[in-house]
Amino acid sequence: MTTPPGVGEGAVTPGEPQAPGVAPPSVQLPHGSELTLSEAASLARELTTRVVALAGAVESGKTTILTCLYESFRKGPVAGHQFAGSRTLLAFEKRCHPARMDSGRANATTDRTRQVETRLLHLKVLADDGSPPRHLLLTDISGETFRQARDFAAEVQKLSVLKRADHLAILVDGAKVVSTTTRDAAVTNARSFLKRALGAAMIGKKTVVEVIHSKMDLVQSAQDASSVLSYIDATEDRFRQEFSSHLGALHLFRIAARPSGDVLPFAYKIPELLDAWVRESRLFGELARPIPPSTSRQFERFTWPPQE
Amino acid sequence: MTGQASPAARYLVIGLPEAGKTTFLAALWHVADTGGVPGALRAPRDVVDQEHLNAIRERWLAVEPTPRTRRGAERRVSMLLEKEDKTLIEVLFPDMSGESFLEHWKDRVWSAGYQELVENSQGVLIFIHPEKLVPSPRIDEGAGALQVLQSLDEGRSPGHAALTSVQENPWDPERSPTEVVLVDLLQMIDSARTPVSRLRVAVVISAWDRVEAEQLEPAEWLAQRLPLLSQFLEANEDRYEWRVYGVSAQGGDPIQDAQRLRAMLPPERIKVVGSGASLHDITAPVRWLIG
Repeated sequence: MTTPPGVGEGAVTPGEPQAPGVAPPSVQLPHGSELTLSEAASLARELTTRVVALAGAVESGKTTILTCLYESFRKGPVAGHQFAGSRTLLAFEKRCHPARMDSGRANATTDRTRQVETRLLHLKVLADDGSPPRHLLLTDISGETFRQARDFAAEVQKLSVLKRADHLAILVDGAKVVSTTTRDAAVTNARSFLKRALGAAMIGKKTVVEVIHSKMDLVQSAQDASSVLSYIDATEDRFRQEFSSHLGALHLFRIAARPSGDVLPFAYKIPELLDAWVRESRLFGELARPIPPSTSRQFERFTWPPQE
Repeated sequence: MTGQASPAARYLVIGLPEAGKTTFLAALWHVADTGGVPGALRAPRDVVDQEHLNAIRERWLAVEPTPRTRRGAERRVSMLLEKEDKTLIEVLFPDMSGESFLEHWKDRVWSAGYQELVENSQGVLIFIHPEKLVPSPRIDEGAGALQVLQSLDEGRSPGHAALTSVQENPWDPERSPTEVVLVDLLQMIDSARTPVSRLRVAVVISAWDRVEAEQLEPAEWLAQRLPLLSQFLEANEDRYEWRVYGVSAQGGDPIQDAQRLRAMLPPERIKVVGSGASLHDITAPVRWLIG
């Protein structure tokens, strides 16, 4: 087979003479950025896909959990789960940048989530127990949306992804909990969001909720660490008492995704969180039927539980 | 020689800039063409256009460092190789610049010509140069990472900000970790194909002479240095059949070791390890790919 001599892309197009100066047609590839709800719909229809929504106040650590989870996979399997792919690698990379040496920053940070519409990150993982690979769709609800949803019933109803969420992870900011001035409001706001979401039937007996205290490195290195920890104990008890019976399950986590200093390791408790997200779901139950794909059905109108 | 060539078998050759793709093709061509390595694939017949292959082979023979394949100078090379059963197979390898692949990652677009290649490819050769990895360490990973980045900085073009500056650098997808880009290139290739069978992926860790002191098998080296890519291949065995080879096509540093290398018989410069390959058989990854 001859290769026509030439320069530019034209040289590798087989057989066809290229008109000089004409750019050959190009093919669009999957964009690699966050998925919209409709782009994620076919994945969401698979019963084995886990949809995880993270909610919490501004800078409570939601996005950092996701970037640290991704960075953990760059070191190896996480909690026995192998990285099997992602449709949103560009998005992960962009989010990780502020915490990388390449950013030129002295301290690791995470950029604020500003979007209003739901955007999802994607991970495909393979557990080491022989079960088939599983997709994870992860979304962090912006802090502003979190605040508005707490205040206005109409706002929480817009978070349609909650109805399909296998897991809702609510963050309580450890940085606020160490201070007696800010801790009560932080806990109350988290509680209000949960109550609002339950009241609007966006979550319920088919949802697994994680109440996550973030930035535990700050808690542990606080001067009055033991009293902060007692406060956290009491907070967790209250959440359990108030919400457990209304939910599929309520789990409590204390994490430090990107701790400073040497108090706790990088991604502290993130593997356990991932494992909980992958292994547990109450959404579809034993008798679940596959959701038939429908080109007219938008993810926004996804009715859950599935209608007979 | 007898035997009709079967329809051309196409293989993708992917790798970021300076990953060693062209040097490999040059040495491969020499071994296949001259038969200097027992057991290696032979190229018993010429193809019509061997200009590019002969040009890169000449440089390799002279122990000259392989210049970067420029964006405009990409060629598709083909060889007629004889399989064990004596049938001939025409194997097509596009010799593309690493920048092309970075553009696929960054711009999310490739040419219709490349699309056609992808759709019809039976396998992939992925090249990884152990000293040209973009690691992108985290800030919290600290001083050790800083040293690694400073050594990379020395090879960087003047347009990039020096690491020791305090200004913040915007995100540059070209600085994404090598393994992330390679995983996504494989994903893009996979999504463009209509799979009849699993895609064969031969991972070639080039300049193997630089890392053999670590005493790792190539697959172990991959799992340690590019864990994301390694997990990805392992976790997708329903889509990919894969093997890892360590290859030194030059046999050493073409500048520092030039004298020593020129004094050797060319095939003896070549070193191949992993996946049962014999020492100088640079055709081993290709032989496995063509099956």
